[in-house]
Amino acid sequence: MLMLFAGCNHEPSANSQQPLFKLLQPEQTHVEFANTLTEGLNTNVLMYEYFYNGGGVAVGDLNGDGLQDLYFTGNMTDNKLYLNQGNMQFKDITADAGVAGRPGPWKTGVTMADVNGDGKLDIYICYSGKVRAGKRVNQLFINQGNNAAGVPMFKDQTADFGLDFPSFSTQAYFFDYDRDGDLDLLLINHNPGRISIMDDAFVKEMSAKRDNESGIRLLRNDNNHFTDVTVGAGIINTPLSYGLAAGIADINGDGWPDIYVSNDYSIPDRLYINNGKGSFADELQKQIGHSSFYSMGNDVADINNDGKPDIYTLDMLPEDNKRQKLLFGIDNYEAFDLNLRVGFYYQYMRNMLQINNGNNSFSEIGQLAGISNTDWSWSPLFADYDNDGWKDLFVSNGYTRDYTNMDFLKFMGDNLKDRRVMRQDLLDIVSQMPSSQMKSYLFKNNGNTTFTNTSEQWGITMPSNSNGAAYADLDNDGDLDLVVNNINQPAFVYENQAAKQNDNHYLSIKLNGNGANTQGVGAKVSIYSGNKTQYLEQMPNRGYQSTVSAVLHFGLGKDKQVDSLRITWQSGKSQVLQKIKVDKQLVLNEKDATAASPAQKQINPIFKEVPAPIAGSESDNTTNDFKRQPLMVNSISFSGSILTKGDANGDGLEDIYTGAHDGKAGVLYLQQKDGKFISKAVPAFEADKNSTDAAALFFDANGDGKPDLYVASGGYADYKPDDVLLQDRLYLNDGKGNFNKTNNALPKMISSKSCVKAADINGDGFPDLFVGGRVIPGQYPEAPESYILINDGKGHFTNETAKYNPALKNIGMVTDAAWVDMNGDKKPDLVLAGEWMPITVFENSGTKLTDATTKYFDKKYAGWWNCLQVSDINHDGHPDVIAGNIGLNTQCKASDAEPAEMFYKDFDDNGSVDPMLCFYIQHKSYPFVSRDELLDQMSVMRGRFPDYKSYADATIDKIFTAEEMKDVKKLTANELATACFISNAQGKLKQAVLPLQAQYSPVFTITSFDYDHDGKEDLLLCGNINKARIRFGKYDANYGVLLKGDGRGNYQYINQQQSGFSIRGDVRSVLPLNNVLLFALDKGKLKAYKQ
Amino acid sequence: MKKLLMLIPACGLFAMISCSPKKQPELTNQDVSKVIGHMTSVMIHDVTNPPLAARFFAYTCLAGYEVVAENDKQIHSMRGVLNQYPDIKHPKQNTGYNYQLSAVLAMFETSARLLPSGTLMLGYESSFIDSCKNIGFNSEVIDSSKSYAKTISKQILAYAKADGYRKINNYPRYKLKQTPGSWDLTPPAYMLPVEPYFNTIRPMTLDSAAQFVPDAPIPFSTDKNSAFYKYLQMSYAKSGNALKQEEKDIANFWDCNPFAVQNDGHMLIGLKKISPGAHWMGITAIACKQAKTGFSKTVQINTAVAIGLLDGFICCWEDKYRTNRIRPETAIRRYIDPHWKPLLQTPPFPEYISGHSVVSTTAAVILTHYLGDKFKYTDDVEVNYGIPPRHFSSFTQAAKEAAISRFWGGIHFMDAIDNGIVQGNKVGNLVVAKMSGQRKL
Repeated sequence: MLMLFAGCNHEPSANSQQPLFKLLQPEQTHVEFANTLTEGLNTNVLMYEYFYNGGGVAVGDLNGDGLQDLYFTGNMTDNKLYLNQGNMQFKDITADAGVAGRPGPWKTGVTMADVNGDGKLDIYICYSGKVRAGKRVNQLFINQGNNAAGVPMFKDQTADFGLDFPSFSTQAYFFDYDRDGDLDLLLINHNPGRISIMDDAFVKEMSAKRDNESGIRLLRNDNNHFTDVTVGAGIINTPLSYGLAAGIADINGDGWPDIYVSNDYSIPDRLYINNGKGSFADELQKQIGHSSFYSMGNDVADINNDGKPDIYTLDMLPEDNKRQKLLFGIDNYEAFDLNLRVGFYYQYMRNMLQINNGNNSFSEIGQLAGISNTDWSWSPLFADYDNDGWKDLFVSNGYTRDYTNMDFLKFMGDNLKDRRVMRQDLLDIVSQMPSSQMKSYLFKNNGNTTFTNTSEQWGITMPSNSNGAAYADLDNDGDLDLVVNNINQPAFVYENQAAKQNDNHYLSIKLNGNGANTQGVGAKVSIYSGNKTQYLEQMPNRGYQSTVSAVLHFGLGKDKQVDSLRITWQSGKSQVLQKIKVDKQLVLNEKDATAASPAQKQINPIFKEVPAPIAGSESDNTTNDFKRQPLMVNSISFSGSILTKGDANGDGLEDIYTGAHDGKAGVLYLQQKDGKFISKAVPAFEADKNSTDAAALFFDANGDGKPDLYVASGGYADYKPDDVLLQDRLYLNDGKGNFNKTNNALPKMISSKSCVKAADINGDGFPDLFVGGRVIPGQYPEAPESYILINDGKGHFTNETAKYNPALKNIGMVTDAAWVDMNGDKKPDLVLAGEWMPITVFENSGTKLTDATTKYFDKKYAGWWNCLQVSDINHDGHPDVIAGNIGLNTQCKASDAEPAEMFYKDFDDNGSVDPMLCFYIQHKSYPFVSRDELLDQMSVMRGRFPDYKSYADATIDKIFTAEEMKDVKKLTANELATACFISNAQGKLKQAVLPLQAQYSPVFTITSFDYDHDGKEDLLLCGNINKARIRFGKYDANYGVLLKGDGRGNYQYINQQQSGFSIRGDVRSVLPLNNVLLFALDKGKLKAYKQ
Repeated sequence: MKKLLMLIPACGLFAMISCSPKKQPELTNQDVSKVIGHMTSVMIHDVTNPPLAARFFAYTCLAGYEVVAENDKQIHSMRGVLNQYPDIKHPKQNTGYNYQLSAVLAMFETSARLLPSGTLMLGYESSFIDSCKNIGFNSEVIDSSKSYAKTISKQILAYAKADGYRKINNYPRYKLKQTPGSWDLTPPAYMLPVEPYFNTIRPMTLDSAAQFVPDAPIPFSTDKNSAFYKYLQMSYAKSGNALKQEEKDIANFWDCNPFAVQNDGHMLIGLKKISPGAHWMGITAIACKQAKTGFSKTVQINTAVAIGLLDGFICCWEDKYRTNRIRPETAIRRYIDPHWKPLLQTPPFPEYISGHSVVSTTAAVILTHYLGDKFKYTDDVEVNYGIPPRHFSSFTQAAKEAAISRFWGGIHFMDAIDNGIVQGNKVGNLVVAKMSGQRKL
């Protein structure tokens, strides 16, 4: 007992099998509160759409005895206040304290804050529901101090503070937005009815309306009276509002608190950046690439210890295959585009983790982090639960009735024919639906921006429908306990065992603010130990409908001391402490902070954007590859140019060729002496403008000393498989930059290509070519044709693929190639990479190319490779390989034991190939395709899967008969990470680890250069896929990943603030030229950066 | 000589003579209607879209029709009548069957394989066979009839499979035209458009989907003096608050939307009703019962109506996706009042021409041909949906009411309705001509 009060325990746990959290029983804690819902004719989900959204829980020391008390809101049932008596014992003092609120429906969130700045914590309760206005006035209970028995007493002073108005509120947040020393109020409200019609006209009109009951409001505190400043502050207040949470923090580090608002349904989230002059601007669409669709709770916290707060929002995507299959219909690109058109932006149904790049941009990596799929989730809470120095994650989840299920949508109507009694019938059906319970999640932070699901090991074993949650050190033993509000079940009180189980240290911090902001809301604390740092911001109102402890908590791992600590209060005053002892509570007073806040570090970026030296040919192409083959994995069409350089006119200055795309011809830009570029008209290029240039190469084809231009034609779009526009072109150069197509220089090569690489394959002194085939338009993933072209020296090429190795003809969907002498015999060998292909090495004997992959790789590395670079990185005489892949920030995961697979065949014999992507979810392989997508692809399936349930568990062998699987073709991928392979002394390639940022997004370009001139090769990786299938979501987390190399195959990520790269969009080509890096983006845009 | 003459004609007659001497039970027109009724409920469950429902009705009825045509001289074969109708191979030795029983079983067998939840039809078939035993069909006759039915059904299914529907998956998916006046997804569910390639399947009587191309729609315009804008105003004014109660009732009566989505927060539910085609098959059942038509005639009438529905949908859908016209709901909300909602939920496909107008008129023409043009009846098909029955003085009157109801429902402009009726008449007359043995119109 004494040990618990002493706070720390250095003994490691005797039994390490004990879970981290122990669920205490209500009999022990006396916390008997349960958010019990009573469904009836007037109280049900049809009457009020948020009927199952749950209640909240607030934690705070209400009576000043050093113990954190608990307040629970019940939607329909009575709220409860529990006084913490120590030893995890609690006493119901609701009635005595006078803080029950109004009985009956409908209570939502609860906030604790010192609203009137008298040093005592007050309580604010939110109301909503389809009830009359009088029942929806939120309540502010001001703490009057303790009575003789030590029970805090409260008085309803809502009207005194000017807060007696009705609203449909989710939660209230108290923070000092104008930094005048008192707490203002942000009220997150929601529309009680679902507005399903979201077309342009309607959205436009509704967006111009104000709605004080449904819309979000900001109220400024003026001497304990609140004034509405919503409109002037730039806060959007309309009926189109489904606010479920706000994350308040100084997101951009300028000293002013910003706000992230989660909006449910298609209404977009908001990123309100405080301009410091009393108003906010919504910059979500500028800074963030995509957000959660049904954003529920959120949490803003620094999860990677880089000192910048990151943003995490919850949604409804299930982890398991079965639930996913019951939830999804068909990817509806038109509905998605409608959302974009009305300004609702890119939204996808999964949790999103937005990593703050510090330069007004965020990289969303929830999938990479492993926290994207937690089913219908409510409350995310980042905190260091195991005290190891990294913030872990708790997620509460649950859906009281499973009506999101597609079978419900489609088949419940069978029972609802007579419209006259429909309402009652529907209610009957809803109430008969099983109430399914889920287990909440606990994730341990691995310290590298990824998390491991430790739910079971850390003590989550009870299924529940959990909503609001909060953390606090309830027993003052140095670790954070968890309290969870459950529907129709007693609340969970989890006692954290870390203090008993491990020997990690901690530091907790109590803040005493000046003026009316007594809890120091908005204060920022950074601690430093060795080269480690952690960052916390004081904002107890977080998560979902709840308030966490106002005592800040740092876990310290094995550090026995904190080297230094800096606190910067909301006022800007700052204080630094040194050599802080651990395993105790530190009290910091704002009056002791006398220094000015440190100036924001000025970072001089290495690269700056400059105007592109050439104009692009912009195009507004709206091609959607998924309209042609709905089951392609990723889109292939690209609405931008390829870039290539060469000295076309022999003046010693490199010129640029930008490739043809979207009906715009390829363009030749001649560099002038002053460094500018002027385009030169080339009629031959104009004639071929309807081809799509996939790759281009300047080389001397006919041996006359002048660089000719080979252009490989590619693309997908609407090309027919035998389209003449897929034929490659060779343009001979007269030396002055006049190019003319020679019509019989090349054999027939009707194939959609990806790359062309030159080498003297047969050693006869003339450059030959490998041309890679990418795809057969309309017939993905059938292998297209690739080519070995042998040059007769006069610019005439013969197809000798079969002679060199017939397997090369349809080797696969090649994306890149390289000619490099791999075995040191001075003959160029061929290295290939492609989609669903292993990185393959063909050794060249001069007359034959032989697959020698196993000589170089210890296993097959088959991936969705996009690009390849082979060079001697570590200068040991053996070539090394870097290959760009889809990366690890995807729904699809692959490994040796659990590969991704592509089964394809014209299963239904109707003339088109049916590609079936399968990958592992929870250790079993399932087809990715949803039931509706399957039926849309093969109408014969309609009879096999008459409902969603029959399809939900189907594996590929349950979809197709054994007969149908005969002769099926299969492709495999076991490696989806962008990879670096360094060759050892024997020339064997071993995988080296790249920084995690290389996996943020698909990599399509690898540019190697030595930006810091230290003699060691550095890399710039770019890519992204904007036009992704809806259920995968757009890949946009890469803004230009700069990696500094050490010359031995180790790379260090240079963050975006330092590198200066801020490239938004898809990159497919990067051209270094004259100290400038030129980027070709989608829609034909060009960007340039210079050091 | 006489004896020989008697032995040579229809093998059906011969077969009947060789049946057991006990008198065979007879099936009635209601046994035919019941199969159709079961199909309708399974299709409601499956949410089969209106054109596809017609396709299922047509091929199912054809299977029953083929059996009847092979056994009843009064009913002529479809060979040479319907496009590419196959040369049906008759079973080698088939005796001891009852052709009426076979016809009904052929319909069960065919629909069981056409409908996604077709196994439900097999359940109904089982019950039907039990009831046949109860009225005196013996097991041998039943088995023999079923075997015959299966042989025919298989060939009709092959005929169906060759109509091109299964190739539709190969075509690029529908893309919005994105021009002013072109169709856009409609609320509340913004569903993808239904059957954009229905015009590529083989029609039964039409020479092509474009045989009866209607007049062009009134051109789109937002000019307040234009004819189109006046149309917008008409729909806006009428199908809102200016509808009389009876007009509302009529609109609901002919709603026939297989899947109206209702939104309650995260809970979505699809409210189901029968499709327009199913409604008219239901009317056919009512009419045959009232007119006490014989078994063969009933099969003939049902088949003719189903063929009319299919071909009606084929040419109507050709027009819808050729013109891609915007729906009243989209245009009115965009150009007049963003809050306007039609009385009925707009179905997910382009506007011009009105499907209900086409197929209702087609069905009415066909039913009039067989049962007369002053045929009074009471339509209680919608009673299960809480909608009371309505009385009609003729099929034509019903069709006219169905057509105008689309305007009142706020989901069609008048030219789509008027030209739908014109096209419906043409399709109906063509079907009648073909069924009557006239090769040319």
